[in-house]
Amino acid sequence: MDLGENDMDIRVKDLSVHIGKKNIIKDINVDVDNGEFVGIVGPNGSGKSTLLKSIYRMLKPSAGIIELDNILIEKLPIKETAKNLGVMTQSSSYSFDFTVEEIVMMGRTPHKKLMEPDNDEDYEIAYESLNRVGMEDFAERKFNTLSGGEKQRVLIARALTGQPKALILDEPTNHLDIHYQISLLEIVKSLKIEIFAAMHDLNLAAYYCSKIYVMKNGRIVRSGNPKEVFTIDTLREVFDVNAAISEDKTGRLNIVYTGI
Amino acid sequence: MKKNLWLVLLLCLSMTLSACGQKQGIEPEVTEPVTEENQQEIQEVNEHYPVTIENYDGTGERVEQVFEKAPERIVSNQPQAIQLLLALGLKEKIVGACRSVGDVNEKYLDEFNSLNFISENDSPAKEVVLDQNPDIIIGWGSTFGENTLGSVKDWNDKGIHTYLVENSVAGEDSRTLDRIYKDIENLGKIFDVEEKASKMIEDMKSKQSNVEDKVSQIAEEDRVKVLTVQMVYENEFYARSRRDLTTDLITRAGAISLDDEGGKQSIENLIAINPDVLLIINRIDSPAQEKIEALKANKSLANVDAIKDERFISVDYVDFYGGNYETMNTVERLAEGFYPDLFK
Amino acid sequence: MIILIIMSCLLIISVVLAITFGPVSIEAKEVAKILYYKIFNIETTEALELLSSSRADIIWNIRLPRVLMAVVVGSGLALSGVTMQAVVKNPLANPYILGISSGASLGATMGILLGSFHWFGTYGVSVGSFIGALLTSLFVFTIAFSGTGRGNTIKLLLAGMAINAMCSAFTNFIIYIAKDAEGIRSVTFWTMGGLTSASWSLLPIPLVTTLVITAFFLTQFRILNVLLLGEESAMTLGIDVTKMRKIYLVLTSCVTGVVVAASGTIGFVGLIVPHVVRMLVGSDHKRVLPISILAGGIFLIWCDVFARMIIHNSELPIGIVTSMIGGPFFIYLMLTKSYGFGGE
Repeated sequence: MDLGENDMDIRVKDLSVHIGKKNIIKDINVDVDNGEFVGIVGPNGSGKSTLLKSIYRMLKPSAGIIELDNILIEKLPIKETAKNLGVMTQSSSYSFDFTVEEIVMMGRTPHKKLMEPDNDEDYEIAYESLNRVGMEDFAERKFNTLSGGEKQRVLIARALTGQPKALILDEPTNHLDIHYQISLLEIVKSLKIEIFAAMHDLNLAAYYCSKIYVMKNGRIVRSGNPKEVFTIDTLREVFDVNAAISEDKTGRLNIVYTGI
Repeated sequence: MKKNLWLVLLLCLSMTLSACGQKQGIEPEVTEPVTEENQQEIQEVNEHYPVTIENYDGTGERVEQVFEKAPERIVSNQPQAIQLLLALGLKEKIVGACRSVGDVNEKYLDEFNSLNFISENDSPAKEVVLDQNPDIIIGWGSTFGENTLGSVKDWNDKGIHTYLVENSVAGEDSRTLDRIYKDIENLGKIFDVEEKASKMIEDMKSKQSNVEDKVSQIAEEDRVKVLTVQMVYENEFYARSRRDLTTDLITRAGAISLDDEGGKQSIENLIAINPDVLLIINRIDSPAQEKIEALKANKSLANVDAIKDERFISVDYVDFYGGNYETMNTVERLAEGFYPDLFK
Repeated sequence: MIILIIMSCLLIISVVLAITFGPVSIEAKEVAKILYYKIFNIETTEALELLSSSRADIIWNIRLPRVLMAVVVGSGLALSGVTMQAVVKNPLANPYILGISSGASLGATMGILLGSFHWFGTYGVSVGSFIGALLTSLFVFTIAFSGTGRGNTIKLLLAGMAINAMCSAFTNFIIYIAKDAEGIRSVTFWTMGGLTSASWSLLPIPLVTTLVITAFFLTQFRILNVLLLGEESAMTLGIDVTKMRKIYLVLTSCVTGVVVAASGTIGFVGLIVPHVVRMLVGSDHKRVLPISILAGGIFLIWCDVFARMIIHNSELPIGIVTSMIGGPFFIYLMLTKSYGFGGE
């Protein structure tokens, strides 16, 4: 599933989003291109989800523009964005019983025409995605009976099944065992497409992301590579924690929390 | 000597009075002094009242109504009951009347329309009824509920009598002409017009025996089979139940009623029953003629005996629903229709 | 798909078998002959003689349209149940939650008790109920999709409840002020649902409407699946949720509207059939849609047979039958199969 050349840039300029009268995020500028894995971090309520929702079109901006491969997103039909932009959000419980296989197969929806049935290729893609997240044995299980972490992995598989050119992940590693947290991040990194992910684990963000945006109170307060962004000052000001930050021989960042 | 005579008379009087009182179980009210003149009067009046009538409440439970004297102010919520009252000559006592479906026989229309109407349907507001200052409410059983006219108990507690028409009482009993006799008898007793009432009953009974004489000759296998139809549409029709008054009318007219469960059903049931005669309910807003035309025009029904032989007979709403003094005329008419040869 | 083939065969067999039941006893062999001669236009003397008999008339003009109507109504209700449950994302939804049944009842009550729509003749009540159904749907849409523009399912359900309450209030008001005990009985029959009025002339509109809209929804299985995932997931998979919800609701209302106009409000089918089918084949609409539609038809055929055969000389309103059968069966399935209702 090598999508190297089939990738899609995401560009956000001067974005503001209101929900009701409240200004949730303001003056947001984001660039995700060249197949980068870009992370967005910040405390709860900083606006990370709102930003992501605007990009995958759940929310309408009150100001600013969003472009995918230099095309204004408003000009694109929803189906078009769905074909190219994979999204994985928080898992939910469904009132209806679907099997894992059915859920993952729904990822093919943007690529199917009206009466077109599911063909062998669709099943191949779906099972490959399931394989990648280690859930292929769960294909016949009812989705509602899975644990939180298992559901999360199925939803990643669904997003991958759409063969997207860019991927949006909203806190993808919640609920997951550490093995699967890392496994998941390895998978998406290997896709060689643009990834824009909201992360809550700063160490993992530092390792996997080539670029980080830090948000607080609806604005971007820091941006750059992890080394530039993750400083003692940043952790103090943005996250209200004391930390010791070190680098190991391979240049990998290690953030240790020392107190509040 | 004269003094003794008075004493003896007084004794006899009080003995008679207490005897009457015991029969009715209630102490009579005698406040006038006993003179030779009003002695007779008092005896007559006292002999008649108090009158105890077996009646019911809205749920069908038995309730006794005891009348000390003839009621003077009637409110009635049922045209068919009103019709009975009019027939008994009690028009002047009706202070409040109501309209309802079917209203009254043509014969009484003018009299009926000249009454004081307190409602356009059979559920006048309690306060409107009270406003008429009634001492008796005569009406249809199902309306004596908490949410409509008010319960029998409530009215009785206020000192206002109630009388529910027999054929409207809740319960499993069939509606019959006998219960109309009972109404006439009861109303005669209540209003002290027993002579008139007896005459009406006699009249009905003699018509009944006329019919019976003729139809009793008919052999069982020659008896006509009749089905009652209330409404008819393309593939469905509404039948009546065997507990409706129509069954009694049909039986008294010497025929066999095929009415059973009633209700809305497929016309295939009509075909299966295959009656000799169809009895059609007639209402101003739903005339029998239309229904007869519809039945004749229905291809699927062409082989039903009653329709093949065009044997239709209609009955007015007032006569089929609760029945009345005139309903015996309908029985005569039905008998003539069923057995025209007998009545030539 | 084996199940589809089996169900289709079951449906055809049910249709033919159901036609053999009725109050007039007709041998199954004759039924088969009548159908064969009529459908294939056989013109031998034997055929012509049989076809001109009243038995052929009963089979062809009374029973067959009725059984076909059962198929149309059953399928239509099942279809509406499936789509309604998908649109509001709630497995407890049924075709009537958006106020359609109370709107239709109001229209029918106006037709029966007030004589509105009488210029449509015998079809007045049907037309009235259809207009009532559509108008209430319109109100509910307008309320639910106003304001934020993105109508969410809670708003839809609440709007439906509000309209339900209003229509019921009007209906009860009309019943209360009506003078007509017999009319009220008609309203009750209508509300309990029935196929007694089915005829060839009544069949085309519900048949064509249901067929066309069914064909449409069969192409929408993917979108219906995705709608069940919720608004957010659906959008990320390329579905314009608001637009599709509106379209689906309009079409569902049309089907429910014509079905209710033809047969009154028959409950349970739209709720239970999709459930039972899901219990057996999962939630994928690719299977749920066609199988529910077939199952709904088969179910209602047999409910109708029961309704018209169980009481001699009368019929049970079919709504009672669907509840009596549907309820316990559903409880049984719930207890024996593991079936998620949302959450563990």
